[in-house]
Amino acid sequence: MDKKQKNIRQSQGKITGSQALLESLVREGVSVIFGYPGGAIMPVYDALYNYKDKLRHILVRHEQGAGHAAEGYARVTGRPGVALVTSGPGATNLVTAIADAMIDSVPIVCITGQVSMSVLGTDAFQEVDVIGVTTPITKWNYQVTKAEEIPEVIAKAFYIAGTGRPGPVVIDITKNAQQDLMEFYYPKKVEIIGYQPTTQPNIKQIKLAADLINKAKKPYMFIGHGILISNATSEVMDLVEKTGMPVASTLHGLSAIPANHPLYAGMLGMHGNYGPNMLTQDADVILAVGMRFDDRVTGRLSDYAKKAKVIHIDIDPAELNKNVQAFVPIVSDAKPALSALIKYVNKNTHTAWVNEFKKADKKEEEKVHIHEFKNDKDGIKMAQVIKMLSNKTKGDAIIVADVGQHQMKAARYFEYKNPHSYITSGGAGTMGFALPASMGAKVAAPRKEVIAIIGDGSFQMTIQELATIAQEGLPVKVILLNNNFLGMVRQWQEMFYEKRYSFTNLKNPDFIAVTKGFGIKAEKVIDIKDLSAAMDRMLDSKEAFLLEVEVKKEENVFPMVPSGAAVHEIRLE
Amino acid sequence: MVTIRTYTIIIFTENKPGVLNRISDLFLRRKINIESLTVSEVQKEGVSRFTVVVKVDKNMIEKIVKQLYRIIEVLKVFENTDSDLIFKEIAFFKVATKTPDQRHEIEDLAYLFRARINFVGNDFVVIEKTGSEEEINSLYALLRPFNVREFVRSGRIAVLKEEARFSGKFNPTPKEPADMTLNIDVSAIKKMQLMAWDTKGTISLAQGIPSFNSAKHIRDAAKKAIDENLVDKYTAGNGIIELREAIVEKLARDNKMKVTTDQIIVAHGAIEALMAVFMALLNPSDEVLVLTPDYASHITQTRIARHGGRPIFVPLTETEKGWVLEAEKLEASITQNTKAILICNPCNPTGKVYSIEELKEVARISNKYNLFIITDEIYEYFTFDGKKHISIGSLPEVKDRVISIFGISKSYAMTGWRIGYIVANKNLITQIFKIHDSLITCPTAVSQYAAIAAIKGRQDIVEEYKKAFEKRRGIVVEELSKTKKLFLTSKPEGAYYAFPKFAKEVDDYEIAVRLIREAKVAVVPGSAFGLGGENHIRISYGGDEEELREGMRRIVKFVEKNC
Repeated sequence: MDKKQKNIRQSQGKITGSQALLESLVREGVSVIFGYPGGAIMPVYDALYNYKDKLRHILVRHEQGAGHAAEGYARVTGRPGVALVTSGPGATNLVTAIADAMIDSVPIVCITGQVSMSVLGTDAFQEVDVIGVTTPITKWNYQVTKAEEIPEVIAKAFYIAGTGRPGPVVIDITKNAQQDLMEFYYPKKVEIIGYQPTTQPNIKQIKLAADLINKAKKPYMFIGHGILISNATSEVMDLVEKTGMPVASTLHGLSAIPANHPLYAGMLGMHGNYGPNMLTQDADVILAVGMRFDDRVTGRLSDYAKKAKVIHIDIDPAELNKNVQAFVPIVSDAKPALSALIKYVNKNTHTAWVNEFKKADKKEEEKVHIHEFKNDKDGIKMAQVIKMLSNKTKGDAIIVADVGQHQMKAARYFEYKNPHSYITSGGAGTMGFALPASMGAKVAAPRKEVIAIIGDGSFQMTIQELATIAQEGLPVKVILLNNNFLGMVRQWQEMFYEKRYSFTNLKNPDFIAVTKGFGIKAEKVIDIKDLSAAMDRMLDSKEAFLLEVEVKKEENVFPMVPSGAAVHEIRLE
Repeated sequence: MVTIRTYTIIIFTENKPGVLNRISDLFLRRKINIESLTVSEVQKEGVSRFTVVVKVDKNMIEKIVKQLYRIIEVLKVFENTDSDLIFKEIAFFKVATKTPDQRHEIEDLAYLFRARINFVGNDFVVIEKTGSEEEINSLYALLRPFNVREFVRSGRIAVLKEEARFSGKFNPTPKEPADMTLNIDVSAIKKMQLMAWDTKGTISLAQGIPSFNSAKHIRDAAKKAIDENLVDKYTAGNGIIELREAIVEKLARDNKMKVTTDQIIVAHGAIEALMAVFMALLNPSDEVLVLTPDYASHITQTRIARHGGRPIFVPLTETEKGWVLEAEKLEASITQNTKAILICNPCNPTGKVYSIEELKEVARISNKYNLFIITDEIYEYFTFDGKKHISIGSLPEVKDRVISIFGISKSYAMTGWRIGYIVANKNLITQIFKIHDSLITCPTAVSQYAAIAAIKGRQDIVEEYKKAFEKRRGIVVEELSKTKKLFLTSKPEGAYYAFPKFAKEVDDYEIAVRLIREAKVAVVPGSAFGLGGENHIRISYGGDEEELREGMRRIVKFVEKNC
């Protein structure tokens, strides 16, 4: 204790563990909590009553919503989002959001109440082994059983969640620890011996990488979520402009570089663009930064990028050589690695190589885009809605997409202008993500237009959060693309299961009536000629607004690299 | 081609709940069976060592290791094939023995396998076998026909053959100084001095600094050495020869010690000399007898040299005839581990000057128990009332076991020049030099030239200082006579310290602090000087007379009021 006391600021008198928790959150710069009260977290909620002016608490309608909202908040701000729930079902309801944050590297700190230390392990009321449950899906978790542990553990939680490769942290606090008195102190610095992320690149490796890029005939850069987390967007632009190499993005890398940048080739992956996928096979050097060669990106690994020497930069050493063998692996934060790399690469152009991308784009346009934007008697197409939204907002909006066909359309047809403006559940593919995540995004960026793009299936998974939006008066806009189908699954059934539409047909409620029932403005468009005006009303609205667009029932997302195929086997129809 | 091999993964983690869960989950989610798993705490507190045996291919083991590092509590991971390791496990076999013949057979098997019979029951024996998996398996196969009632094995524990791979790779407490350092307090003398500096208007009678400036001929010698470009380079590590020659002469003249120049190391003050001696002579388990009360730095230095071990205090007896060494007490303190006796003569803080009889006792005991005698004779010239300083190094019976430390700081009012010296037999000097060389390479060149001037120059200044100190001792005695609450049991015989005792029992540390705060006079609490020092304070009368008198008045006034 002596040693500690030297390094810490001490306050006078004793406070409860609950107060210490809230004080710790304030010290960490937290201003918003997404939560839901319950028995085992009541002491904290009682303390929260006195913290109303320091901590804004947003009362969700289901704990999963708190988790996703915290994710949305984190994705926009780059700082850990905070969820606060009770024990047992309160905590288990968070599990999906925690798993989602784990696989997508989103920093969130989840605080779960727990039964008192004295009854731990007795199957007490609302007792669940949250640490056991969340161990595989957290970057770190810890059960606090003594009040005096709280400040140090919270400091550690935020440090671990927010640094290195970000991720979720669960802190389970027993009720006695919330109630007991302690002397408050807050550690100035957190040091963990086993956790010291490498953030600076090895310059030898950087030189090797630069040499490869300088000699390459067909260099090709891949950017992922790591670019956004590291705020390395300007470095990406500087590097591609200097080297003249084309750059493609993963789903989570979208918005890291403006969509209209002349060297931006488009999106990689199963539903990415034609050229970026095809030409992966021709590249002789691939510089992959802050991305993890997910199976949705690589397709069949044995046929992936066979001609390329891969330079892989990632902050997580475990990602290097995990799926794709790296010729030059570099463990580093993206920003310093790219800054270093820029110094060693030569100024260059690769006009012929870039033109190959343009040629491929043309092909995609002819085979896909023309059809996507053409009016159809069978109904409005999702692409038409997204394109119109992109034009009307000039790409300046935060799009929060759910999971399914609409997610891919939003990724493909919205022209992202600003970093951190495409938020979706990528790795986990969590349906129901968008509505709560858009609340978090809106809270984080109140001046930005935040638009959730949701399918009819996903919407019903977390529809209750409309009540949160209404209660908090969050002016979130929702575009509901309704095809009365679980569209993506249906597409697979059409393509790979002989159109046996097994349980993908939805009989939906009257979404307009439901939304209005929650006290939120809503409008429905069926005819394409009404879309523009309705969208204007939505965008002009100062309050939350739901625009339901009934879209063509059976529409497919193309291009597509079928599951198990190689990326050059990409299909355009 | 995928080759499945047996890998032993050694994982060092923080010893915290839930780590095992995280580690085992990592194998579970890849559907890898753990062949064996052992966990225990290692020599470093708070660190666990996991030994996990799995059968996988090389590619997978690399991924697993990277994933293991993602666990926050994991400090270090080593993955090894069997050829890198020494490994064993323990198995117990409880085997039925229905007939004496069977028992014999089983015993023979155990003998063959170099297994132990651990327990013999009515109709069974328990065999303990430590060995490789194969050995245990084959012993099991051979015991099976006898009916193995219970069979349990520990799982593999392993160490790496290549020791170097382990060193310095991780450390759970990287930014902590050594335990020994943390346990050492800043000396009470320094503390009081610092406090005195912080409190305006405080008179310091704490640190033992003579008030005089170094004499002119000494300073001139230094200046001359500088101007003649003699001081710009390293000198010989043990000191320039002229200085050592001067010291040899001085030792013969003043200390009755006959030595040669190769028995001398010139040091950076007596304090470096002592440190080098302690480090050269003492193992951590060696005990040093310290005759207390004694200079606090001696105590700290021996602790550093011995990795934190405390010295053994042998308190002198405070009598009206001075502080007296009782030989029986000294002898009674000797153990198998005793290595040396430390003797500060004349003594700081008591001013005691050892008599020839006492020194002969020390010599006798050292001879009897084969001990070193380490001296600190920095105050050699300051003895009063006709008392004479005798160097124990001059006694022929112990001359090979005495390491004598002298210095010029006090004798010539040269505390800032930092010159002291070590005198010992040649073999010891060779060893001590190794430490001395590592500590300072060589003594400061310019100071060495000053020291030559001091030792070879006019010696009447020493007499002058001695007289001044004697006079100042008078002031202390006079002022102390004005109170009965703080008194000298006997007059100090040497050095320039008085070590008066409180009539009532007090916390001398608290009094010292209060003296600074309330009376604006700094002294050193007696308990800093080891056993027998408690309930005393040390007053240095090395300083200016006026200040000394005022300081003494403040002490007396405070004591009268508060003690």
